[in-house]
Amino acid sequence: MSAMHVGRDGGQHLGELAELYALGALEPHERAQVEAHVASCANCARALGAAEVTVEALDDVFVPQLDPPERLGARIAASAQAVVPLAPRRVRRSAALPAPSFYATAAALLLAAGIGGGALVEHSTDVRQVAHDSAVLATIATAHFNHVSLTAREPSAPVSKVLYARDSAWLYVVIDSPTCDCRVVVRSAASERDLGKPEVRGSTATLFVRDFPRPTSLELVDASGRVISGATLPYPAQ
Amino acid sequence: MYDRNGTDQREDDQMVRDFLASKSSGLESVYAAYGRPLYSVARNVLGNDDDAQDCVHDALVRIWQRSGSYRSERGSLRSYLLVSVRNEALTRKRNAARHLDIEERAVREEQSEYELEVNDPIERARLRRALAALPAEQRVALELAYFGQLTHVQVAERLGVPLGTIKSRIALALRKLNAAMTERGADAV
Repeated sequence: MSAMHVGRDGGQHLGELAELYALGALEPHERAQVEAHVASCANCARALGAAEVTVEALDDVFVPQLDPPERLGARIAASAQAVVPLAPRRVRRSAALPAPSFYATAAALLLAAGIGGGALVEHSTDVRQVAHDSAVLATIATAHFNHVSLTAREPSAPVSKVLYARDSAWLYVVIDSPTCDCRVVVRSAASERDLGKPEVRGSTATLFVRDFPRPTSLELVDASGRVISGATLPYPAQ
Repeated sequence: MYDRNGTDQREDDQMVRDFLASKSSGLESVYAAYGRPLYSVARNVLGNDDDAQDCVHDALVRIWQRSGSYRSERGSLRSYLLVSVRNEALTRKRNAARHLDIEERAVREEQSEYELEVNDPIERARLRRALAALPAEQRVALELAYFGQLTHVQVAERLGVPLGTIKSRIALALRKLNAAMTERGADAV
């Protein structure tokens, strides 16, 4: 881990980490260290801001400017309406969490992953639905996982996300719509497998699957067999 | 907010307030204002459209949901979002182990000068001059971090230089660029 700089006040400050952060030259755990410090240090926030402005200038002149696809704007707009904002809150860690905290932690993990179905934990009825499937939440809350948003290929595609274990032990699809009549299909270099239809859970539909060949991609297929959205699933090298 | 003319260009205060208050209109307005540069940065790092879209969507929505991570002392929301999306894109790229070789990136960067739209040729020339004025060891370290998209550890390994030295070189280089920009801004007033 990068060492913080000891300032004239004897306290720890960012020093060179500000520039390294702005350039994207830090590892994730080092970035977290910077973000935590900046939250409580105005001087370092200003130093980081100066570095970010410089990188912004580099981006503005060296990065070719491209118009984003219209469907990205549609996804952002859909999320603006569908995702429930969260108050900044630190998730408490404990070796033996009581059940309510455990479920809150697992739900926070889902939301930290940027799942469109923020309503999962917003309403008490949905909390009970989430809590009902304790095995799923326990698996997710204790695992190292990746998460990927599905890219819409049809205008009707709902905002969807897949969380999947890095060791390919499970995957969890969350569709931010209770009315999507679709099936989840995974593909690998040599095969294709229909994992089934997501189950409606309040304002979302979800599917949790174990024991399947490591896929290279995942798609939502509607009742007519049309692929409405999909994503590639990058796994760490074995 | 940085601007190419060195003048005070303030962000839309209402838009920033709405975004920081996690209002739906704030997210949509910020995307309307900054979607193009954010997507461009993500696309430049990740190299393909699907990953760039996922990156921008996920990073922007996450920040909007948890807007407490931004504070006004840090500067403009635009520069904060650009750096956040760039960091998110770099993390995804590194995790996916789809790192382009540095030499290949260098070739792409040179090609892009001729094949792609030059955003602002005057500003680009100014920044190139400022880069060229850096001591060679600082410039190389900065270019490996920015254009090569390497971590400071990777830069140190590639150059065979102690990590602490590399951190200092990169930080000094960026501070000198910032000073050059500030002087330019003062000249323009």
